[in-house]
Amino acid sequence: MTRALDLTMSLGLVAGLGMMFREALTIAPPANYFPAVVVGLSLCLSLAAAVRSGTAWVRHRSEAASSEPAAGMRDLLVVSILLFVYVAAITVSYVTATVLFLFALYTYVRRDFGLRALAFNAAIALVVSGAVYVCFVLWLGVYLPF
Amino acid sequence: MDRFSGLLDSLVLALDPLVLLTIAVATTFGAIIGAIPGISSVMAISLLLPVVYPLDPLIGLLILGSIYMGAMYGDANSAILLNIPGTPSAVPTTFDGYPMTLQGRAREALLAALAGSVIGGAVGVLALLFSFGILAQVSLMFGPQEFFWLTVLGLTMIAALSSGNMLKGLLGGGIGICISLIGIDPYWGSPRFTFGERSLIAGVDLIPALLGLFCLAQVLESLRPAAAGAAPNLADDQGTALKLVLRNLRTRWDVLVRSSFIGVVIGILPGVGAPIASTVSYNETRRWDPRPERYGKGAVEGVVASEVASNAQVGGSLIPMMALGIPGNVNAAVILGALLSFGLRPGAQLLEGSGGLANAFIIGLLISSLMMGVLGYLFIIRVSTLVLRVPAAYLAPSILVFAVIGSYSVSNSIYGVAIMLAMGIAGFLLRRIGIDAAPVGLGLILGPIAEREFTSSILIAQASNDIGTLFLRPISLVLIVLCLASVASPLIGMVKKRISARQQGDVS
Repeated sequence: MTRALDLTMSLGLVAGLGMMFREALTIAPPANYFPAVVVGLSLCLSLAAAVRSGTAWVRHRSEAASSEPAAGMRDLLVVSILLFVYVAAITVSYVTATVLFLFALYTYVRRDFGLRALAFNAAIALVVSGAVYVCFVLWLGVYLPF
Repeated sequence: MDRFSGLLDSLVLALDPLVLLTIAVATTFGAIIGAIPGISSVMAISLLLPVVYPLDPLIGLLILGSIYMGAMYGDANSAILLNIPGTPSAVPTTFDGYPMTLQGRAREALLAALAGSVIGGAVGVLALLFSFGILAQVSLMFGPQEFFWLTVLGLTMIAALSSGNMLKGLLGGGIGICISLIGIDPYWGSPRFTFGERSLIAGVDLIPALLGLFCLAQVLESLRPAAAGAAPNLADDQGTALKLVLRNLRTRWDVLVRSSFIGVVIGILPGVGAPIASTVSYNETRRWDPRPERYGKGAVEGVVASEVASNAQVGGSLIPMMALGIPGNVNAAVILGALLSFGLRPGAQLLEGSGGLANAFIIGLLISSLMMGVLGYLFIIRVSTLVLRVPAAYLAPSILVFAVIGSYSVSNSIYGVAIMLAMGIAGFLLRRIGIDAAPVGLGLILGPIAEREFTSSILIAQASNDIGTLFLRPISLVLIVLCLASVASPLIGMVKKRISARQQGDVS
């Protein structure tokens, strides 16, 4: 799993940097000197990394896949979805979005669904949301929709 | 004699109980601001600018200066305890600070950062007080070419950081610089690398990008249920930690001298700033150390080097501001605004012609720096280490909310949050394939400075029809030699290690 991820990411980097390099070449000089040199060098490094990852993947293809990285990716997916929903909801109501987001995340990470644990999570979520509100809105003058 | 009696009068002004109280409150406030990821000292002092105008000029200036001084220390706390740099200049502090926390040496790291900040801050302010006219002239000897090579010297640290896997370290640095190129070209005004996406024209804001890279990626790592139960331990007690730090400072005075010098000199160079000071200082300390392999694994000297330089540059950045009216960085620019609003004109006559106010301000900064030691030991470290007692299941999501709102506050829009999310997820995935956040972050911070100075240098070279101006100016040559030495030393170390491993293999 890690080697496959390594190879996929390395190829993704090659593709991304390749696109950037192609665009850098279209910029008129001297504006393109710095971007072309930096992106070109990075592209070379990413190609070398991809070759190394590919070689490692071919050599160890038969090895059993570890389940730990897969679990990590699942957590990343869950937290990312929660974060995206939270960020979208902030613009509507900061307090509601933050309290619900924190409550959901505390509960997901603790994996304790007892009534006491849930009540504690809700209380902490309220306190933290209030502290952030006081710090940013009342103290530093940042505008957040209540 | 006049100068001495003037200093005594200013000392009396600075020792007024109300002034001392102001310094204490503002320094503590600055330390708190510095420790919160996403809030910069610039933001805090800019917000306070309208508040200080009606106040007594000395008190107003000291509020701003002490917040600046406190923030440069406060950023180390979150860097050490959570691996989240409070400001970009604390990135090098994470390299050894966080490993020390994981080893149960959090208090030792925090005290080392505090001692480094106090010493660095005091040296920087003393340089400002006693040599500000002479040192201001030094800054005029630096042109874009020298600034470019100085930034490259900062970037060479990536090689030192990634001696375990040089290819991925350098790739990480390259990725960081490439990301910093996205948006409108600051020199030529044309959009680049936006791929038709309009929102990217604004570019990638540094603060949300760093928050994503260091904070979100770190939080995502610690949110995994397997990791959420494990909190870094706090085994060391403060008294023992203090003894260890003092012993280390006594034996490694060379780190203090070198880092203070680097901090002051880089501070006086306009537009360079604290991140380069702390990065170059960390890199040089590692390079001159007889056992450089300890760095990145919990070497206390790494924390000291980074913090001494970032606080020494506070005084340094005020030197060209007060002597020439050229602020060394944005913080100094805001303080310059306050100085002008109080009717004070920067220049060689400022110290004598302000009725002791300028001297009292500088002495007040010295007091702020020294007071930081007492406040830090008695209050700030004790409070900040409480963070480690909070279970990771509650701490990580709460930090996430601070990071999201901190990113939002940069431009009061969701754009900053989107950058933070993208960089956080990218940082998490890059970490999984062995590319650390540190080289990417350094590329992000130093890339735009390197590009700005490179473009200016190229324009000068084109105008004078001599590309040699980029390489052959005396200070540039010295910096190029330092860059080469900086890249070569980890490579030589790696080769030596391989040869000795091969010899051992042959013997056995």
